[in-house]
Amino acid sequence: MIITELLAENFRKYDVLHLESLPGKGLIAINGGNESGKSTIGDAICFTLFGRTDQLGEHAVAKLVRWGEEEAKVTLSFRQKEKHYRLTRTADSNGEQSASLWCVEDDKVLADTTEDVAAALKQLLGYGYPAFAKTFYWSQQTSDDSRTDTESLQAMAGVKTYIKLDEVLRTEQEKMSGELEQIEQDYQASVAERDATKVDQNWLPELVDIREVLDNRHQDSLALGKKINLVRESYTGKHGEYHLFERRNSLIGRLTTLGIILLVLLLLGWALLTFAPDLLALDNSAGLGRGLLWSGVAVAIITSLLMFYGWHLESSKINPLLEDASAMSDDLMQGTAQLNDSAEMLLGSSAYAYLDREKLLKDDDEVRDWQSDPVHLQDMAERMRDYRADPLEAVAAADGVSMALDKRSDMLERCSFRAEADEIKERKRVDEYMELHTEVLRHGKIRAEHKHQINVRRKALQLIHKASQHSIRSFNRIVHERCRTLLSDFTQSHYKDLEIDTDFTLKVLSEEKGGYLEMEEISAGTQRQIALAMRVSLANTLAESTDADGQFMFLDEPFAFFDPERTTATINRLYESTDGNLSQIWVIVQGMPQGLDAAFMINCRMDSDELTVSG
Amino acid sequence: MSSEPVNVDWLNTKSLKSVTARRFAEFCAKDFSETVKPAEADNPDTDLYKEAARLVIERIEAAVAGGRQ
Repeated sequence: MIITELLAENFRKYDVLHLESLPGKGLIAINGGNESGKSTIGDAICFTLFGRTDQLGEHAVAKLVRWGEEEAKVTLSFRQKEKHYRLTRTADSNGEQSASLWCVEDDKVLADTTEDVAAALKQLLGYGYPAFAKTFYWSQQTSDDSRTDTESLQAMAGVKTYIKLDEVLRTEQEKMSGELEQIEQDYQASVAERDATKVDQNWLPELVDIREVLDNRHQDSLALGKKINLVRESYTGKHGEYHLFERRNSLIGRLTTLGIILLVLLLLGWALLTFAPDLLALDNSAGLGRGLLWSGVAVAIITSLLMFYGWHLESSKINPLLEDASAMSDDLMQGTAQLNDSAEMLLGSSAYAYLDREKLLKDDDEVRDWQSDPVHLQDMAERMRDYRADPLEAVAAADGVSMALDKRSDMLERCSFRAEADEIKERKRVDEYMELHTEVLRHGKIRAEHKHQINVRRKALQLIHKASQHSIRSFNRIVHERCRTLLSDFTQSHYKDLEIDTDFTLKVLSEEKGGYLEMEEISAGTQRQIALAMRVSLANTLAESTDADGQFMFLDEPFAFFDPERTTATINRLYESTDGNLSQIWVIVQGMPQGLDAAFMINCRMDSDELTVSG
Repeated sequence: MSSEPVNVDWLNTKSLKSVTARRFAEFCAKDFSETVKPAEADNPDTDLYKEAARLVIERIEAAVAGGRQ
C-alpha cells in the first residue's frame, strides 16, 4: 500500500492538512519542533485506515475532532496492487464514526460502513490494525514496549492462536487432572463396595448344580421307593400266579409228551396192520388199522391243542410275569446299590462338601445300618427273577429297602430345600454384586475416558508446541537474515548478528564483548536501534507476504537517542530499503539530520493550523 | 529405499476454513508422515495422534469462527 494523498479537515490541531502528489518511492521526511503537529500526520493515516490511533482507541476518537468543531474528516488516497483507492473516515464530537472505501478505477464504492470498511481493508491489505501497529507504524510508545513486540512477533510467526490454544488446553488438562483424582476415588470406592459383598462369581453356578443334583437324587429316590413299594405290594400275588401257571404248564407238558407217545404207537399199529397184515394174522386187520388211524388223528388233534395252550400260557402269562420279576429284581438291586453308596458317592464331592460345610447331614443320615446285609439281598434279588424267592422274605427285604430309601429321600429333600433357599439368597447377592459391578464398570469407563482425554490434550499440547517451534523457526530464519544486515548497518558494525530464540527473546552478537548479549545488557539507545532493525525487518517480511507492489512505513522519531553517526548510517540503510518492498518510508524528525535526502519534505509549524504540501 | 506413503487424508486439510488450521494440518501431515510408519498407521498411539490433531484443528477453526484469532 502506497499513500498518494492525504486530506484532513478539523483533525486535531489542523483546520486543513493536505499532502498531495506524494512520491511512491523514497523517504518522506516530516520535520518540526515540539507541538508542531508531526505525529498528527501519523495519527491521521492510522485513524483513516483503522478508526483509531496509536494512543486513542476507537471509542475515544472524539478527541481527534478539532477544538470547537463538530466533525473531523480525513480522506486517504492510496495505491494497492496497481489500483487506486480512496478511503474517507469521519468522527464527530460524540465519537460516532463513518467510513467509506471507493475504488477509483472501478468507480465503485466497496464499503460504506465502518464494519464493512474494516473487513474490506483486511482483505485488500492482508493485515489489520494489530499487525500494522507492530510492523509498519513505529511510534514513541510502542518502541519502548518490548512485550507487545513479542506479541506481534508471535502473531506474525503465526503462533498466537497456538499460544492461546495452548493456554486453554493446559487449563483444561489441569482441570481434568484435578477431576481425575475425584473420579479415581469414586472408582476405588465403587470397587471397594463391590468387593465388600465378597461374592464368589463361581459359587452361584456351583450352588445351582448342587441343588439340581440334590433335586435329581431326591426324585430318583422317590421314584425308586415307589417301585420298591410296588415290589412289596405285588410280589406275593405274582409269585402265586407264576407258580400256578408254571404248574399248569408243567401238566400240559406232560400230557403233550404222553399224547405224542400215544400217537407214535397208534401210527406204528396202523402201519403194521396196513403194510404187514400177515405178520399179525388178524381177521379184520384192515378195519382195525383204520380205527387206529382215526384214533391217531384224534390224539394228534388233542396233543396239538394242548401244545397251543401251553404256548399261549407261556407267552401271555408266564413270560410277562418273569419280566415283571426281572424288573422287580432290578429295582431291588438298584435300591440296594443306592443304599450301599455313601452320601458322598451318591451326590458327588462338591454337593457333599456343601452339605458337610453347612452341617446339613445328621448322624442318622448315613443309611448303611439297615435290616439285611447286601450279599443276602443280592442273592435274593437273583432268586426273585424266577420267583424262587419266598414272598415273605422278599416283602421284608423290599420293606427294608423302601424304608431306607424313604429316609434318604427325606434327607435329600431337606437338603434340596436348604440349597434352594441358599440359591435364592446367593442369587440376590449376585444381583446386588452385578449392580455394583455395573457401577464399577461405569466408573471405570469414565476414568478411562477421562484419562484418554487428558492424554489427547497432552498429545495436542505436544503437537502445538512442535508446530509453534516449526513456525517460529521458519519465521526466525527469514527475519534473522534480514535483521542481521540491518543491525550491522544501524549499529555501525558494533553488533553484527542476532539470535532469535523460539520464545522470541533476542540476543545480539558483540564482537567487542566476545559473545551474545541479552537485551538488558545493552544501552537504551542501542536497544532502540536493535528494535528499529527488527521492526524494519518485520515490515519487510510482512510487506513481502502481502504481495503488494510496495508498502509504506511510518516511523515517528526513530532516531531519538541515536548519535549522529548511527542516525546517518540508519538513514542510509532506510534509503536502501526503499528499493525493496518498503518503498515509501515516512520519517518524523526534530531537526533535519545530516545526510537525510528526502523525496518529499513536510515542515510542520507550531503556529499554523493549515498545512498543504504538494510533491 | 522406497517406502509406502502414510495416509493423511484424515486431516481433511482442503476443507479447513482458517489459514492457521490449514497450516497446522499441513504441519501434522508432514510430521505424521515422518514419525509414523505405514505399518503403524492403525496402532493406538497413532489414533491418539489423530484425535489430538483433530482436537487442535477443531479448536482453531472454532476460535477463528468465533473471531477470537
